[in-house]
Amino acid sequence: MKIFRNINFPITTSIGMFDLLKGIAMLLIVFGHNRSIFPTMKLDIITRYTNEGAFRYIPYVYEASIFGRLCFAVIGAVVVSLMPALLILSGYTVRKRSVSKCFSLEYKELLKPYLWATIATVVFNFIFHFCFFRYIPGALQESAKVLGGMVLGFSQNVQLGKITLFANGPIWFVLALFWALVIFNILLNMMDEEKIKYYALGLSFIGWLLSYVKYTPFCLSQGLIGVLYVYMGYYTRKSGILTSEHSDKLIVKYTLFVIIPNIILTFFGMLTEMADNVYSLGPVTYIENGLLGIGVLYVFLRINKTNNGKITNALRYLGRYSFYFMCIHTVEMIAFPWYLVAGKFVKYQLLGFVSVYIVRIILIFLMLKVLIRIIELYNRIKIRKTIG
Amino acid sequence: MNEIFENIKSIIIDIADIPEDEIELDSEMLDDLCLSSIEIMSIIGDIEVKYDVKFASDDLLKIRSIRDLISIIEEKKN
Repeated sequence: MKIFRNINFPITTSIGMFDLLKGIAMLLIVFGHNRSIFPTMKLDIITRYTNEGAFRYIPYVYEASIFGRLCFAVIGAVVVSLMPALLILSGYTVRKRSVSKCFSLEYKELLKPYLWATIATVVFNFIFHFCFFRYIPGALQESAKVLGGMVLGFSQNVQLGKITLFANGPIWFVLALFWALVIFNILLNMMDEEKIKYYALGLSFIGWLLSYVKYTPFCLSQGLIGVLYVYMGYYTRKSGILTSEHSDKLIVKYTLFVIIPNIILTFFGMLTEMADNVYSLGPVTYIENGLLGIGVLYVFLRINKTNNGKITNALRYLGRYSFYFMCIHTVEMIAFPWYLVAGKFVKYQLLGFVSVYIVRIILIFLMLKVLIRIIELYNRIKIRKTIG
Repeated sequence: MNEIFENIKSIIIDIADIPEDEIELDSEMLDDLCLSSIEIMSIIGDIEVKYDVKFASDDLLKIRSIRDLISIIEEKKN
């Protein structure tokens, strides 16, 4: 229990307490999306009985040792729980408002930026497509597919007859969060607080069933499952779970019913992957992953307090502006044909993966700085007009 | 401090649409006012422009209540 004692202590909240986790999550999201453009890179076939793995020269790592697989299962479980953790964070600061006020606020904070990101993605997609292929009808057609997919809010590519609509990319999260917060607020207004958990569970179940319907628009499926995560966040604030010290009995229960099951699930490849509507064991996976998300948040908040180096603060900076980061990442991921760049590294997949990842992070960071500066200038003009 | 508090109050009301009587000097920004990360980002952004200050990432770790926020603003302005 000593390992838990080092992190089991009460803390006070602060407005920057989640920034480190969000910053790391942003880098991992780009990492995962970058991985998908190098499909033949054998980075993750390192624990199977194969000598094709990228780490085949490192002893013990690829030889399917139980210890190696277990380590990766632990890391995998933590990584998988980050997406639910981000939704739980949003639920942490939920405040009961009238239904119309909540809708109008979330429209302003989430939907409007989603629409702006859509416009930017479509415009840049057209520009880059034309720059690379020099064919306007082709560029228009591809951009129309992007527009259709983003406006209709499909988190995966969808085939409607002869028409393909492209996935809306990382910004699915914003749309799902919009539904989760609006619907949860409706529950807060209409239901007894005691019964909200049952409704949240029921709605998440409907969301899971909808995940089997390919044409579910507007990320409704993820939004409904998100209602449960928002409830978890709301409950953690009300009960003080994240800020309190916990008894040994609770830690044992949490280890037995949450940590170990999550490791087992990940060990056998069962996970929650909301963007692609993957819930390997249905409600079991997304509930377990969500509960582990709370534990990850708990640990992170304590690590946060003790780290203040330059890298940590840089990660906090990314986390602070994670919303803009997500929007910019959506634009660069969909609009720019990274697969063409990845194609240049056919023989050197790992080198290509690392190089492209670094370039993307730098680009996103620079665009983030520009966007923050533009917003700052807009605010200055707004304030001067108010004073004038 | 009063003037800064009134300004912060009006920024919070403008961005998060919270009733004025619920915003007090010792109101905790997460636990009492339930400000979301997007709202906090906008509020801090507006304060940075209004008072011509810059909040570092570790400054935000020290801000729990509006009083803490005002202290940091005054510290930076001085």
